[in-house]
Formats: sequence, C-alpha cells, structure tokens
Amino acid sequence: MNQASILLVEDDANDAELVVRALRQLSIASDIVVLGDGQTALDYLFGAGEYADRDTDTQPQLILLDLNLPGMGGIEVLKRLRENDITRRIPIVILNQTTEKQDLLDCHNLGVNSYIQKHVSSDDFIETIRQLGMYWMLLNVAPPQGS
Amino acid sequence: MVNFNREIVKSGIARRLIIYVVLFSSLITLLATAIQLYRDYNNDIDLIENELQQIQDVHLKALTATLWASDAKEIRTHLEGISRLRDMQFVEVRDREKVWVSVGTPQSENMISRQYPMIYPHRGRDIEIGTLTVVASLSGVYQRLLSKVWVILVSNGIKTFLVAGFILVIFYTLVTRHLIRIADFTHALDINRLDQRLSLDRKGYRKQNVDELDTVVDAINSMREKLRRSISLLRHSESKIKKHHDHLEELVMERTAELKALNKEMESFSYSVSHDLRAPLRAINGFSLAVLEDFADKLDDEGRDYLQRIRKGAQRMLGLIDSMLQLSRVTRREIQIDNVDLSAIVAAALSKLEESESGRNVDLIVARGVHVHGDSHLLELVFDNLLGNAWKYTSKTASARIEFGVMQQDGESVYFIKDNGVGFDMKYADKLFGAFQRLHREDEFPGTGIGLATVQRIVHRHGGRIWAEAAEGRGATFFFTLSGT
Repeated sequence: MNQASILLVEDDANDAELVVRALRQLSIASDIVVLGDGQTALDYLFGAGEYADRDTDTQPQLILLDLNLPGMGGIEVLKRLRENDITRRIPIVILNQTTEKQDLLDCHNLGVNSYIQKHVSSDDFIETIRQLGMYWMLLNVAPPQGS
Repeated sequence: MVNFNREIVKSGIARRLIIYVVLFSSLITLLATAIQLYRDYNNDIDLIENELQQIQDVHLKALTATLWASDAKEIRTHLEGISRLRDMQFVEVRDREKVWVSVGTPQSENMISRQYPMIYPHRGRDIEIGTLTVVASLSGVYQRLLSKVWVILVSNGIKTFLVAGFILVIFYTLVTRHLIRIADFTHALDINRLDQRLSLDRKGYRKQNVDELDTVVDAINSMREKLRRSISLLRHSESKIKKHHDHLEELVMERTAELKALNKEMESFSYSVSHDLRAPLRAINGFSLAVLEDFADKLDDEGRDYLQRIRKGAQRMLGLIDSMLQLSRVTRREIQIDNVDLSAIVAAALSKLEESESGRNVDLIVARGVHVHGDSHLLELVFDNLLGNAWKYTSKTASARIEFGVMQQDGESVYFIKDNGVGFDMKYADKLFGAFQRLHREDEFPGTGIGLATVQRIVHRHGGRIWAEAAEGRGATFFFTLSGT
C-alpha cells in the first residue's frame, strides 16, 4: 500500500498545496506527485521528455486532473490518457472550479471516473478532498498494475 | 387653320352664344323691319294722297269744263292720262243719269276711292253737273312692301349666318381653343411632371392686358406650383422617413451585434470571475484553516480570532461572487418553458430550509396543486430566495409563519409568499429589488443583497411583475405574476 501514489495535475500552487495537505493527513499514499501542466503530466506518465528514464510500469493509482491548465487543457490530457493502453485504466478524477455543461459532457464522454467541483468554501474543499482520497485509495479496488 | 371640334360646336358655349345672338339679332331685325315697313307704307299712302290732290287740283277743273261741253272724247283722253299715273286703278266721270267715261276696272278692296263733285260756274251760280270718281289701288304698295320684306329677310338671314360664323371663329380663337388647351393640360397633369408650365398660344395678344383667361392660367399655374411644392415636401419627408427607417434597421442590427458581443464578453468575464476570483479566496480560506489546524498551539485567542475573521471575510466574498454569477446567469440563460408544479418547488425549498436549520418551529402553509408555465430552474431560484428571506426574517419571531398561496386579481393569478417576520418600512420598498441593496444589518440578518434582484429578473423574464407589501415588525408579503408565459 505504501507503494501507492497519486498524481495531481494542477497549475494553481495554492490549490495543489491544499490538496496535498489534505491527502497527506490521511496517510493513504506514499507518494503524491504534483505537476503543473498537461504536457509534463503526459511526459511523466508515458516516460517521455524529462521523464524519459522513468519506469512506466509503475503508474499512479489515482490521477486528480484540473481542467483549466496552461497550454494543453485537461480535456486533451484526459483524451490522450484514455487513448493509451498504459494509462487507460487509471482512475481519473476531474477537479474543476466550474461545472460548465460542455466540460461535463466532454469529460464523461471520455470515460472520466469522477467529476468534482472545487468547493466554494475551503472547509468543503478540504473535506471533499479527504472523502475523495478515502474512497479512491481505500475503498476502490484498483485495476492490476502493469498488464 | 381653325380646327373645329364638332362636339364643342354642337354643345359648347359657342353654340348657345350663336343661338342667343341669332335670336336677339333676328328680333331686332324684325322690329326694325316692321318700323321700316310702316314708314314705307305711310310714304306710299302719302304719295297716293298727293297724286289724288294733284288730280283734284290739275284735272278736276278741266274735266268739268269738258263735261259741260259734253265732249266725251276729250274726257276719255283726260281720264286715260290720269289712269296712267302710278297706282291709279279706276277713273270715272258721270252725271246724274249716266256714266260718261270710265277707264280701268274698279275693285272693292285694297284701294283708296275718292269722289269729287264736278261743279261748273254758270251765270254766277255753281251747278253740279257730275262726279269724278278716282280709285287708287293699294296692291302696288303691298307688292313693293312684300318684295322689300323679302330683301330684308334674305339679307338679314345671310348677315346673321355670317355673323354667327364669325362669332364662332372668334370665340373659338379667343376662348374655346384655350379652354380645350387648359382642359387637356389639366387632364394630362402628372404628379411626376409638375414643372411644366401651362401657357396659351395667344399670338397678337398684348401681354400687358391681363384678361380672364390669363387669370385662369395663372391660377392653374399657381395651383400646380403649390401642388409641386407640397409633393416635393411630401417626397422629401417620405425619403427622410425611409432613411430613418433604414437607418433604424441598421442601428438595430448594429446594436444587436454589439449586444451579442457584450454578452459574449460578459460570459467570458463571468467565467474568469468564477475561476480566477474564487481561487485566491479559496487559498486565503484554506490556508487560514491550515494555520488554525496545524499551528493552533502557537497562536493565542486573539490570533485565532483574527484568522477566523479572515476566513469569514473570504467566505462572504465567495458568497457575493456566487450571487453575482447567479444573477448574470439568470439574465443570460435561455428560458425553457414547461409545466411547473409550484407547490412542489415550494415544499422542496422549505424542506431544504428545515434541514439546514433544524430545531426551528415554523408554521408552514403551502397551497396545493399550483401549476404554471415557466422555467422550472429559474422558478426554483425564485422560491429559494423568497422562502429563504422569509425563513431568515422570521428567525427572531416567536411563532413564525410562512405561507405560499395564489389569488385571482383582475383576471390574472397573483402568487405570494407571506411571512410574519421583521418586515420592513414601505418607504424603502423601491430599493428592495436593486442589486446589493440591503434593508438590514449584515450581523443581524446576513445576505448578499442580490437575491431579490435575481428574483425580479426572473419574474420579468417570465413577463410578470413583482411587488411587496410590508410593515416594520409585522412581516412582509411578496406578490408576483407570471402572466407573460
């Protein structure tokens, strides 16, 4: 279980910090990787670019993805991940500020596992992150790695 | 040269003029002729009388002497001389017993007959020895008069005919042809070619003498000119109106495009507001909480209180941003009309409120089965806000009561939410529906001041009206209609 890791793709450092803090308090993951944009996230997951020597057999157990990213948007990232065999089965949870109809449609069409609105008040936000981490990391049975 | 128009001659003024002229001139001629004839007749009669006088003066004495001498032959010669005089018809000399000589045949009518006694002076005394009878015929007189009448009539007839023809020509030349020209001009008058002047072809006519035809021509020209001016004015204003109209359409299209652009801008603005303004607030709020959780022991009560204040401020600001976004969404959102069960919406909103604040004992009265046509999502917002207000403002009322109902007023349904809460002073009623307008202190009754503005916009978008009745300390009632849908 200590091998379990979470990938957070979030460009807002404050939000990232709050999420990381909430997840750490739960002690559910050995490693929480935070990446600030979509391209870097793809490089990390596919072992490309600056992550060329990373072992792609080890993949995060959960990806938390912000839609509003600089450069490549969250939807595009989601699409690429769902197209690739390596990342197809990784649970992906969207963390977004807004619930625009088009975003919701696009994400669910691409087979997203969950769509969470970053809550208005941070008490709610932190609580949401805690519940989310508990569910996906503890209750949910993840697909087997590497095959 | 003279181009007579048959119709005009037959029925025109010229014809009537000719008839009157002919009648009058004939009458005058007849009168003059009668006078002339009467004078001629008298002259002829006078001539005959003169002759008879001459016969008496010249022949009577000689004939008496001849009769005294009983010279019949001589008498005959004498009488034949007399009978050769003009108009003498019959002459006769006779004595008491017999006719001595008679010349001519006597006639019993149309004659002047005279008998002169033949008196011969013999030995100092006058002896009447016979009678001279002279008869002058008037037939000659009549015949001459008759032929004179014929001459007069024929010459007069010719004269009248010539005068009539002359009048016709003159009248045509002077009047009729101009009238025809005026009529033709007026008939052909076209509103598109009003700048053509009417002018008459009047050669040899001195212009300085203005006559009736000139007056008519002037009048028609001035009428034409006025007409032309009015029509040009009319055309001008017509084209102006058309221009305005075209311009208006252009303007409307321009404005519509501008509004669309503005709307789009507004949408992206709202998006960035919701995204970019909320993120820093979440940070303020979140890290305040993190400090409170992680470093509570390093802060004293005052420090913790300040952090709580920071958090409250940030939360309040988040609430304001959300309300603003909701208000702008309500304005932009396309309305989707459905059959909506208002009673159900009210019940759901009230149960949400009861859940949020259990322990309050509020008497709720909800009219059942109230259905309207409207946008269910927007109407939910209306009742969330109105019932939320009623809930909030009855929080300090001992036996709180909130009622939803509908009544008929002037043929339309008026829906209302009535509470017995703190109410408000009606002099602030006009401020009620303005954005960010609040009638109560924040620490007394928290709120953003946007709820009723949102409600009003939704009601207006449904074509309805909203108003309120209240009194301070005695509750408030909000009425609205949804008649436009």
